[in-house]
Amino acid sequence: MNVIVLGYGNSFRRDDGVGQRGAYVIAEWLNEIGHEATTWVGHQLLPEVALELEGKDLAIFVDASVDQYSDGYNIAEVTSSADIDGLNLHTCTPGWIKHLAAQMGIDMPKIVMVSVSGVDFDFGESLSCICMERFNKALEGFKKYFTDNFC
Amino acid sequence: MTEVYKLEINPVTRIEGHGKITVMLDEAGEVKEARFHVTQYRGFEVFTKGRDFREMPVITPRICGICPVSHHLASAKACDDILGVTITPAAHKLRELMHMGQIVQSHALSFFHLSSPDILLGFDAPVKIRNVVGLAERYPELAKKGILLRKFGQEIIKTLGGKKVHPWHSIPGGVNRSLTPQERDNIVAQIPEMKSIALEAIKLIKGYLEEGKEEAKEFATVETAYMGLVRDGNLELYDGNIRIKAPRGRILDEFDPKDYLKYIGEHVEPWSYLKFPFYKSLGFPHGSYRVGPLARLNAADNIDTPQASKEYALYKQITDDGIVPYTLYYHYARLIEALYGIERIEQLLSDPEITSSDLRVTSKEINPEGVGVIEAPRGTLIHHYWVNESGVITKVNLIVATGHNNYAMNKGVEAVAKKFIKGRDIPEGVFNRLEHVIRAYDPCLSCSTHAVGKMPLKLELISSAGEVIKEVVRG
Repeated sequence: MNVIVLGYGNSFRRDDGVGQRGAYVIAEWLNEIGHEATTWVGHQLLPEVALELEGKDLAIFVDASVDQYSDGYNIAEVTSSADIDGLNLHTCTPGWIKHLAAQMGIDMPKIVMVSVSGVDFDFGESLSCICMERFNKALEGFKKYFTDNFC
Repeated sequence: MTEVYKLEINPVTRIEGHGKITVMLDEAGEVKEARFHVTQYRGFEVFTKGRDFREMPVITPRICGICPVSHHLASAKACDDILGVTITPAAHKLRELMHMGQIVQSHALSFFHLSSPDILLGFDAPVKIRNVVGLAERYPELAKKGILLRKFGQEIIKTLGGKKVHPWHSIPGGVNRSLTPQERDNIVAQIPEMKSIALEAIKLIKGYLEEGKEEAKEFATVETAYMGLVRDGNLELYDGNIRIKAPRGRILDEFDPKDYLKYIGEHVEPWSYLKFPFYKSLGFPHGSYRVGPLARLNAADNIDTPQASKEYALYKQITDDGIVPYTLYYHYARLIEALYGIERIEQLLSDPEITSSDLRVTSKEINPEGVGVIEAPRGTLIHHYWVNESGVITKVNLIVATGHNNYAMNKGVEAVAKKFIKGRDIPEGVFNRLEHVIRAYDPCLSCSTHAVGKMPLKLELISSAGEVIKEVVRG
């Protein structure tokens, strides 16, 4: 399976960096089990990310979340959304990227969002212990989700 | 007694950073006055005092996430000046290559992502569709091409600087890495498609402006002088002299950028953190000038790349004297510059020196001050540092493009307000026209006030007593 893992967030704001770090870990696991996984990482999602979806079978977005999920993480399929908060380009969501890609006629892969609850978004390059632990759980959760849905 | 109402658009959307437009109405609904405010302050000029000057090319790009390359390069040039060095030809070319990547990506962002929804979908189109998704829905191929063009520029930045935003490539005295032949070839392979996208966009904007010629020429047009870098009279974005031309095209002055303080003054108004630069010989406001694509094409006599030169010749035919004062034509000029940027990339990559490893000169000299000037996508960017004998920053002066255009943006907003506002019930499209005046200049308010921020659009109608009588929030 041709997969792209897209991690985003500010790696200088502690737990906000879990998206970028997590993307590499998820991609590494996918490659280990025989899939062809590439990564895209950035501070924020931008319209050009829509082009990255072209030719992929699956896209996985990874991001930190301020929402405190009961398991510390959430995995869900992304639905298309035309909403753009504040009408600017600093707040693209995976749903908005999916909608934009569809408008441009890009064949849509299945899109999954992995959100990890953060607790510390202060300045710093390391994840909090809580967020690190939650990401490890999210990784296990993702492995099961992937196996159940795509294998 | 005439009651005065104040109408606010706060913040202005689809520009970088945010600002506020205030339109003062009297009871009859006639516009009395309009202002474009910048209400944020961040203070890079203050908190960089006490740092080693060598850190400035890494610190100052943080002013902005859209044009960090421009700050990076202007800063590196100021540091070269402090060191008293002339960088190697290879380093010069690599810096210019990154700069052209920045010009192309920023101009593509400005036109395709921010401004073309107004132009192609109409100022009066519903807010919900007047954005890049709405554009993709109506013109999918065009939207995709716009994204591709921006990506092309960003990839050049990333290749040289390691990342697209806040790259690190230039250092005092040169650059920290070269370009491999394979990286060069990857970029070269994309150039024909990028040229074709730029030419298609130029055709599109020409058609749009021709169709609504009279309105396009009237829209927010103001009379100012024009400023930009030139080299032997040609358009120049990285080096050269600063030239100032009068509204009808007479060259008022041409000088070494290091002497900018002799020629440029800064006027202050209490209602904005953004200063009003002006040409000293004429004083304020008569010496107010514009910068950015329209101003650069007016300040220059020619463009020295083949296809952009042809487009430039056609552009100059718009008026009898070859000077184009019309604010909406900023978009047209911006796209000609994008084409120029692609052609310069091609020229730079065809030079064998671009893969040279002769990248840096060193110096133990520390001059007391250094000036670095560059044409950022939005206009002339000036970095000026003063240091002590150890190289510690004692004073900083930054003049950014949005500041230079401050007077023109204010006058443009006022002109549009007076034309379109005729009462208190104002259609949404009128607000958008006011915003579009600002958007045409593609200002970066993060740069101009050194601030960051994002809010949904808030519009308030306030009586002279301070009572909010109408409020609209969108986004």
